[in-house]
Amino acid sequence: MVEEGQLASDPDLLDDLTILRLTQEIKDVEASKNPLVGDFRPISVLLDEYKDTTFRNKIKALGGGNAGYRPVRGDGNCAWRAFAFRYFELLSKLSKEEIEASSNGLQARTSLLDEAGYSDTGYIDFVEETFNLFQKLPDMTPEQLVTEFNNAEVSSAIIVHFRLLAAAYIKTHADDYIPFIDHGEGADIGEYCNRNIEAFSVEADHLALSALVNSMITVDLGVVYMDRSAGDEAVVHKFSPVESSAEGRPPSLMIDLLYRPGHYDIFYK
Amino acid sequence: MPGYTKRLGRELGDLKTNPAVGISVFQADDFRIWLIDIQVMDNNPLYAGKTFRLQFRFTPTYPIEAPEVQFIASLGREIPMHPHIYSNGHICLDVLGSGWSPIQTVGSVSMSIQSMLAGNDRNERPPDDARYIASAPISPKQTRFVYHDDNV
Repeated sequence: MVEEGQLASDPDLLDDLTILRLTQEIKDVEASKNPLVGDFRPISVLLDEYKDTTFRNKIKALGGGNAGYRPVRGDGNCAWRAFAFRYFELLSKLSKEEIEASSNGLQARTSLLDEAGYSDTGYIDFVEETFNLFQKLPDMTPEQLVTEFNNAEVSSAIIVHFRLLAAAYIKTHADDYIPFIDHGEGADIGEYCNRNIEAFSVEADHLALSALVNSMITVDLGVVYMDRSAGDEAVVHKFSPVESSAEGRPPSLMIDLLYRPGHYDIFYK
Repeated sequence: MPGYTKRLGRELGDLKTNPAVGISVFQADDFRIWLIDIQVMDNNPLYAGKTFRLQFRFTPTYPIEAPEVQFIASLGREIPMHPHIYSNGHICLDVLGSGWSPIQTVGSVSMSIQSMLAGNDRNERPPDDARYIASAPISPKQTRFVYHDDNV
């Protein structure tokens, strides 16, 4: 073990445990500033962040009254975490029977993972975490759901489950996706999914969101693009599942995300 | 029991009951370090008749984060010659770094490394081998490898 004072000046001297400890400290500091899933904020808070007229006009056009957003930590998983949290938040407002139907509907989609060739050894723990939460959901308060999602082990597992569903959808519908992936030099679907979707902490692109919505069947997604493009209203991209009815007819949900270049938060109309 | 030990227990079961050709568990007594022996099954003259030993190190963040994987030398186990394998056993392979995903397993990583060897016909070390091993961190995961040439 080396002296504390040497650490900063000579990184080669850091042993593995020290690196692990320092990395954890950095993560803890980050976590105390930005929880994985934050609390709801009214839209006026967002407005106060911007001086730029284009942004301000677009934010004002998002609506007043009850509109707002919920910040999600920018760690490369924000779109996935935002989607997953809002999915469970919307479900939590439904009846016990509807939650169960939704759980069964999603459970049926696990077959996608097998069709895509994933080993159950590789995916089963993540899938289980999702359905554990389904079990607990009817008795949870809104605050408990936020706490649950701020447990990294729980929300990371659910994110991996959702990432694998999206990647599995692309792999099992390769013909639909090849034209978007192949830019002339041939495309390897497996490699695309590995680098862009399965890899943890890689931000979701348009294709990933489309595949996620298709894999889940019961969710419509709207992404509000809050960027510097011309116009007084933010462009909204809508993603709807190709298939329309799932097993057991679980209720359909509408999730809205707020996109600012490089980052997604949850949007509430 | 923390989640990662459950997962590793399941992986160990798979490796023992349904092993891939040329991949065998040499030692897995705990959930910290495993040693896996691999052989290259085609007749690649660089590796024919030899067995190599991979060391996997896990932390409780596995499999969200990649295990630390490298070749280790011991009696009858040398570090395989390969333009992406340093003489200290560190391996430059994207699946161990930025290409890691939690769906990967010890078995699938072993197979990736096995096929990386099978496809190689160059009896050489990376061009920066001497410089790298002189200052390499203990853990290969602390190295930011540049995956500049996927065709080797």
